[in-house]
Amino acid sequence: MRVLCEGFPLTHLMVELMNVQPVAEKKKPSKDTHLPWLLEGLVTLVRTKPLGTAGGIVVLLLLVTAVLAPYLAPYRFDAMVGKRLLAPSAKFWLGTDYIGRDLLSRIVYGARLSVFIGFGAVLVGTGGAAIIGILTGYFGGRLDTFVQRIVDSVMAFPWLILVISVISVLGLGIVNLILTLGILMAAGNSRVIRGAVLSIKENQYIEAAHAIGASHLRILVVHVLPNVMAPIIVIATANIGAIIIVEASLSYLGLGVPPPHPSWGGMLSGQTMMFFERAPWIAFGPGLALTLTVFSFNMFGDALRDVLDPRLRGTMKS
Amino acid sequence: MTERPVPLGLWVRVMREYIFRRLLLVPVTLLLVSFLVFALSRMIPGDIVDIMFEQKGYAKDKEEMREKLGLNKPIHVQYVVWVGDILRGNWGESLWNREPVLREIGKRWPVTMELGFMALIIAMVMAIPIGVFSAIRQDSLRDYALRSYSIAMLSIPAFWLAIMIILVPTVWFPSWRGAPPFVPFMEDPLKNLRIMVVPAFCLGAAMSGTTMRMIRTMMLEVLRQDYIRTAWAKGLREAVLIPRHAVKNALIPVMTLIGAQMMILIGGSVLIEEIFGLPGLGRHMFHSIMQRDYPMVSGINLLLATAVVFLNLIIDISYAYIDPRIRYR
Repeated sequence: MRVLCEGFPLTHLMVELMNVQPVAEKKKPSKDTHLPWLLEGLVTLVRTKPLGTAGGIVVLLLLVTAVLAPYLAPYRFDAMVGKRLLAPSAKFWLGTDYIGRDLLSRIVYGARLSVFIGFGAVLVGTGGAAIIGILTGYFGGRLDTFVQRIVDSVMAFPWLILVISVISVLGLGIVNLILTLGILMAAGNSRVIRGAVLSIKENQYIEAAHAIGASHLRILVVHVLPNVMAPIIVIATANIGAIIIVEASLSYLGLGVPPPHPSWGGMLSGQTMMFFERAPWIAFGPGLALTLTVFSFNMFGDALRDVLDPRLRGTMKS
Repeated sequence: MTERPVPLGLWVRVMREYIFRRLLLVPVTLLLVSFLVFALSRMIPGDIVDIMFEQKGYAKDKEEMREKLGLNKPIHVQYVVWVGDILRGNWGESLWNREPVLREIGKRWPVTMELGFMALIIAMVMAIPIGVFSAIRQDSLRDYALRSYSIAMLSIPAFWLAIMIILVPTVWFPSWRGAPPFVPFMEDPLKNLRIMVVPAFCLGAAMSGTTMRMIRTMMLEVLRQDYIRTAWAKGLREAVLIPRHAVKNALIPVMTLIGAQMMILIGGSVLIEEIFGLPGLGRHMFHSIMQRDYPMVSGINLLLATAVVFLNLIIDISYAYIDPRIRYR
């Protein structure tokens, strides 16, 4: 809500994140456990959030799948191993696609791309949001006004349309995709971090640090950054699902990573679409993989937010 | 929330000042938006002149073509000329079929608007009851089920949902086969609505998930307030208390925030219109980008971004009007 109070336009990414509140004071760890707060958060998560934990486990499995794809997949993703459009069978668990490639193998390899682009874009996006948000929130003044206007104008474009425009300018490719999605994510989410920094700045320990002559850099790194870690983590986990969907949508429109790299969105697009009626199973697998992945990320992110957000923390037991 | 503890005169002054400050931001943002739109369209790789000259040949040679399109002037002059034209209502014409950009937009925006509003309505109809129920039965089994449902709605990619909705009936119920061709609303409203309802559902599904969660959070917030406890203590029945005291207040912030989600709907309309073959703005935008038709791309981008800037303005002002705490910051 703080963001609104500044008189700046509200942007859609904030709608989801408006509940994020800064950790104004770090909770002191209780005497018997000396766990760092993030680990403590994870323990709380496992203890109190079964669904979120399940989501986390699926996410872990997905990561393992992505890393070990060459060992897990029964065939290579680009090998034409059977007849075209075979129904699911013991040999091809999910059937084959329209040129006879094993669908399961392609889905397993597709996990790599989704995970890589998802994590890459979120890394760029969260890092960018943190840098922009912390600097503008902390220093304020002209820099803040200027950067906020740029963020406004970027956020004025509908997400997907802006991404399509930018990708068509930059050209297809993994790096372009990660940078585009990451930068757009950074613009939208920097407001959340900025809002958190604005309130942290007012704390007495910041004033005290100034008084004993600490440099801006030291204050930012030692006092501000640790206090915005919770919103940063929440932003990262809350956005990764959406990023994966945008990537799949782009691939579906033919603007994702070019073939032969299998991507879940790409496996549903182009020529494949002509065979959906004859062989419906080729449409099920990739879509289910996508939905399950995004669902798990969202479940995990949601639970993590509840645990890390001190305001909601109180409501969990009520 | 309608109570005003401040004198009316002061309230009017503060409100006026807020609106004034907020209005000042609009031209600045619009200027930056126009920079972005212009830069985006001029950075498209591959010389548009080459492509057009080979395929269409509007002019004798490439130099003449460049001159015709105004591409031989320096870039800042091109920008000034472009902005001047826009302000005079001359948005240029499509590089491909010579249709004026404004006329093309005028032909297509009603479809996208209709789709967007229907999606909005469908999303709200699903979201409000579920969100409210989920909040008043917090942490029950049903709450968990409904929350999982809302996250599931958020997690299904709209294009896959659309594919499934088209595909499943054609496989298992062959008699449903074949989507009817698009009919404009003005020609046959009923038929038009029947065609639009499925695309609108696909578009609205994700939004219903987000909105559900927002409503639940807001409801939980409201339910913790003292006046709700007072109402309980008075012995009000749940059937009165929830709709009259809680839902009404929880929905005010949600309603203003929903406007912001319209933007996501516009973005999503690209996919949905493409899949269902609806002649709307999103689909046209996508094809224009693919064809490097940059007067068209710039025009649509500019229009959409301007609409969003004003939408945000309206949201902020209405929010300040509803929630007095904002104005005093």
